[in-house]
Amino acid sequence: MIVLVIPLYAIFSQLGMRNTLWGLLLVYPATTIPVALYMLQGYFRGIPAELEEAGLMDGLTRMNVIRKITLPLALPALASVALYVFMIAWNEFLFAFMFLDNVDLYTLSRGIAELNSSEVPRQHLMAGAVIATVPVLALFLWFERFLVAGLTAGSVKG
Amino acid sequence: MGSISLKSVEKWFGEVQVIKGIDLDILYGELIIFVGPSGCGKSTLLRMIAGLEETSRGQIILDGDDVTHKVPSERELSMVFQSYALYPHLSVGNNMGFALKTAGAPKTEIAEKVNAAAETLKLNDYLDRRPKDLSGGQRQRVAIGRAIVRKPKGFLFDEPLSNLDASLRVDMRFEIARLHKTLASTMVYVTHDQVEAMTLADRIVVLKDGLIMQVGSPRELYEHPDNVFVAQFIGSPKMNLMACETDALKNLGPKDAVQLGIRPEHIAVVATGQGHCEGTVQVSEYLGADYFHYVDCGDLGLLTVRTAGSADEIEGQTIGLRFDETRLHFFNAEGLRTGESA
Repeated sequence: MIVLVIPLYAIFSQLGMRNTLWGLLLVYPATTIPVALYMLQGYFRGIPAELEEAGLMDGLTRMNVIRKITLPLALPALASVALYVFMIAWNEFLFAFMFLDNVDLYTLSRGIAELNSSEVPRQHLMAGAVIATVPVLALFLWFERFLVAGLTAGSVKG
Repeated sequence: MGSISLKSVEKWFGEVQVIKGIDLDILYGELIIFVGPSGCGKSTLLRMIAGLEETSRGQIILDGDDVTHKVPSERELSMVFQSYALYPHLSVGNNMGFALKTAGAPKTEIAEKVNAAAETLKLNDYLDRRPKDLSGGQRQRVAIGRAIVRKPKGFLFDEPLSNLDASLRVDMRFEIARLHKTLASTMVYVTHDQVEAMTLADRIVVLKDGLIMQVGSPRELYEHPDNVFVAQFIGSPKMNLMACETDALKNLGPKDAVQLGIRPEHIAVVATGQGHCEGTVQVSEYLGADYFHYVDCGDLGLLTVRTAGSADEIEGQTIGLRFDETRLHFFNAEGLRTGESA
């Protein structure tokens, strides 16, 4: 990340995107999508091809096979990857710290770092850090229902 | 409705030709079985009929319409896969009703047809279960149920019983035969198990290396194989093949005959010197109703002889073998059938 930050800082400064949320919106997907794709492709490959062929034989079009068979079966993987990507962006500190100067634009992690000063009691910093974890926790509890193992069990022999 | 014609159908995977020009007419209501050793192209051919595999050359005609370049959904065929391929996220009932739902049928009609199919396949008690909660046999019944719920133009079975154990296979075979009688629709069935082929088929298509070796009823194939390959492939244990030039067999067949074939059950065990040849019984296999004897006949090679299970034990003995001369098969140098038995 540190290798990326320096050139991106220079480029974003020249493009006028440095002190903007749009800049971060561009950087976060660019760093997480490759990993997310890598994680998902393994799962998609694990879905038996016969299931998709059965869908075709049952009268579905290619697109509908993806919509009605592949995606529902990939739900656990989609949920866990979504959670992972959200956590990365939510906790991200380095880019936010380097790019954002305007206090109004601070992300949560960047804002909490602001509490690290001699004028603010240390407890506030700690409390802020704890509060920052709550949304991820809540999201995880909600996502957990999708994280069932062995969703494809029983579909094909062996 | 439901006749299928293949016209000079070919399949190429890159430079490799897997199906080498097949012409076949499958009649309405017929149960036709593709058999052959693994890699002969039988599954590929079925998948081409289904539309899951593109046809490189030739035409596939379904009820008079050229469907060669149509997608599977436009062909209105149902398929049962070897691995069942049930939708794991749907209940048994929803699995069976999936095609109807896709076609936009009203809910009451779906429920009615699913129940009727479940009744036929004895699946009524399992409609709310998920596939993972079923045994192998039940899953395969669901897969068949999914195929019969809608009225397709034809059914395609891709080795549907291969994953089942022996006794279940016999039950399901009966089930499929019964379905074929009640539904009276066209079925194309792929198997490498010749017992399935012999018992179920109206006609059998024997394939080898992407070519049809012979098409005919089970009896035709068994009694009048066109070539050495079919002669050896159909029938268990295999037909005995011997070179015709040996002294014992020299004058039995037509002049161009090179090989002589005889089924194990058409050889009688006699006293030495009274048959066409003699040999030593190396191994006898007792199967209850039958004995299979493997007899070393010197120049003629190892012959398999089938006798009744009640016959005496002859393992290790030297015996004479007499061939039923009305049941001999002769093949020429190209391996094709020649003449009738002498």
